[in-house]
Amino acid sequence: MTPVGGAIDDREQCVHCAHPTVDEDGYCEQCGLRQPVGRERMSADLGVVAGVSDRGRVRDSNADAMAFGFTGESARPDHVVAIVCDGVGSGAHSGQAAQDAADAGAAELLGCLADGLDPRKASTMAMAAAADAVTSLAGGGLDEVDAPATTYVSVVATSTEVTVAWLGDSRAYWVAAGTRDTTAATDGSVVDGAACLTIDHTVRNSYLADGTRAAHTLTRWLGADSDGMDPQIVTVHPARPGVVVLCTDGLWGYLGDPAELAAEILGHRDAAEATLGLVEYALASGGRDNVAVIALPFPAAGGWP
Amino acid sequence: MRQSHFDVEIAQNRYLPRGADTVDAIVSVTAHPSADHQVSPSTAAVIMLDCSASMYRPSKLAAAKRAAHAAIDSLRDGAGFAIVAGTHEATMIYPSEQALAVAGEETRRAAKRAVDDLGAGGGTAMSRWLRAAAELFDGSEYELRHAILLTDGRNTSESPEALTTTLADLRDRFRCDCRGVGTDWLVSELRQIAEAMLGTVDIVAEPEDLVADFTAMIERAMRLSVPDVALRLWTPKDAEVTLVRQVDPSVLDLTTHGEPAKAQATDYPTGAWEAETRAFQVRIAVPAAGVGDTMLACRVSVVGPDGDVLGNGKVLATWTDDPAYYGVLDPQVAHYTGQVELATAIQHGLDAHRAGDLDTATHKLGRAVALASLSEHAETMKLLSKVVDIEDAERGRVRIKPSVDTLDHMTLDTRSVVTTRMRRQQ
Repeated sequence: MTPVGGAIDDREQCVHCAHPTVDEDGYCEQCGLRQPVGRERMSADLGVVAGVSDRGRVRDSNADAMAFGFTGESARPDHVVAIVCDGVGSGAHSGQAAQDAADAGAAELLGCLADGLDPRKASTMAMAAAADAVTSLAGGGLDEVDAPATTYVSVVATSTEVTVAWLGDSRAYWVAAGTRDTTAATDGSVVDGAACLTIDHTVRNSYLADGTRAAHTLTRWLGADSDGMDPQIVTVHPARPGVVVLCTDGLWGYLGDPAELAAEILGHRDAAEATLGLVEYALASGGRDNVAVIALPFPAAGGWP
Repeated sequence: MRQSHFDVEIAQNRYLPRGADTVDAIVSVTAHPSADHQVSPSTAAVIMLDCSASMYRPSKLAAAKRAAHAAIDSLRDGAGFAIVAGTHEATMIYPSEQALAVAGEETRRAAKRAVDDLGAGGGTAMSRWLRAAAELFDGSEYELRHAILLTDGRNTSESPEALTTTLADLRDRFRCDCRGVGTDWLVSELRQIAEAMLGTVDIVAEPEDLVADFTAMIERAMRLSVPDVALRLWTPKDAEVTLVRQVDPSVLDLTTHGEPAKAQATDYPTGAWEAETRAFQVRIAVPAAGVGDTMLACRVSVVGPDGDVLGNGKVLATWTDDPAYYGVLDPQVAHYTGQVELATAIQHGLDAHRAGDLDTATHKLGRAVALASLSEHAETMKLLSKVVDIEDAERGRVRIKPSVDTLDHMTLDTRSVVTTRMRRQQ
């Protein structure tokens, strides 16, 4: 399942004012605002997992990508999987690298899980497949300066555990219903309140003038010139029903604290509404970067907490 | 049968800085009337001739009669027409009854005979003339309704309010071109009528020039082939059209002519068209959207008399923090903004001159000279140079001539609204 921007005709209503009619050129018949096209705004809702990605307010194109799906029946899935990637660099191929990585990773991840591999092994295999996809994009005669690369974070949720694998600075968060405490999350631990499950592969090198966010440099990524080492993986055991959120820095640059994220997300009624709310939060905060957000309730068959 | 169509071109810088809520654009509209003569509209013309006592000066009345003859001869067979004598009341000259005649060999001859019998005497009440023309058109089915009003004097037989009320009632019901002969009429009065009735004003300095002028007006009226064209401006909810004015071939404010057409859309009548290009300045107040958003600030449609859409254009707005984008002024918008300022500077300068305020007059007319120089408006520059001595055209340094001829004063005033097109840059 790979969400890409639907044709304008398919849109049910204006993304800005919810008016039901949009003209043939993509302008709302009520507020006049242009509807996003192609990769500018992508969204999909499978019930057990939903995601939204947006170009933001400053960048010319969207180099974030999402892919997600599940194994088993939709009413009672065995595994729910999701991947978020953030294409590195400003080249025209950064969005392509991110989407290819997400697509290849999700296909491999679902295939391995269906074949009976355990989530940690499947996550490693999936990231290798994603790396191959990005590397083969580089084989198309691109010079090394503009070589495609991307961050990558994947999640596999079952009825008992959550496995996260990542390279780079796209993040996974655990958010539990009914508590706003922040808990530590290490491999094999039990998580309860709200926690960030990933550790950014970055070095901070300077602070921006407004002090809100450190400019940082990636130390690990997927694609050209990556270190070729295995991804970092954690598996945690949630103590109660909750939500796993995957996102790029376009969201966590504004909403990075797990407790604040929890407060923002848990008021919503389902994954689709929650991810849309988080993307709108990023846009309202300035939308400096592309943003991608996926939410999936835990346990996999448990519904929204 | 191929329908007429219109090309709509939008010139604008669509990029706005964060928080900006005003969108400016120049809309150029070019008519391509149907080549099929079967679909040319039926046309009627009413000629209002001032027959007040002041016209008695033999040269004036005789010239007006010759001009009326020329106009009658220029009518296409089948066109509706009538000649009305205007004094403190309105009197039918031809036909004798309150109706339009149909142009043909016999009616033309009879009409010219009736014109020859005209005498002068009485006052001037233009609202009665206009109401008489409106009644003639109202009783008919002609699609294209054109009137010509000729006067040599001021509207002295009624209060200014009578004219204002009449114009509010009759607005946009027919087109009226106004001509002033001699120098005893008021530019502001005829401009008021022309603006309400979407026509032109001009001065005819010498009575003998009336023949050529009347011929040209009727010939143009006969060429007009698409009646009742309106600009339909759709705007987003909570947005508002704050200015619509024709800026080419002349400045004509249409803002107050708007009529609600459908949800979020207003029609601005532009009258009838031949194969021609006109430009309009449009300004829209919009609710500022976020940086990165693009808004359709105005959908411009050209609509025909039956509401058929004959052409389309889009005015957009995109908000950005990048001054390299929002800092650029569109050359067409700049040019026509300058042309409107030029017309205003001339009118204010001449008003000040009339009031004896030479400082203001010098300042305003100096500004006008600078703007005319910048836009290479040779015609207006020539008219300005009859009123001021120009020391430095680019910088607008001028001196008012010690004695200004009334005719030059009125000619500059009357033609101040005529704009020039932008020179195409290489």
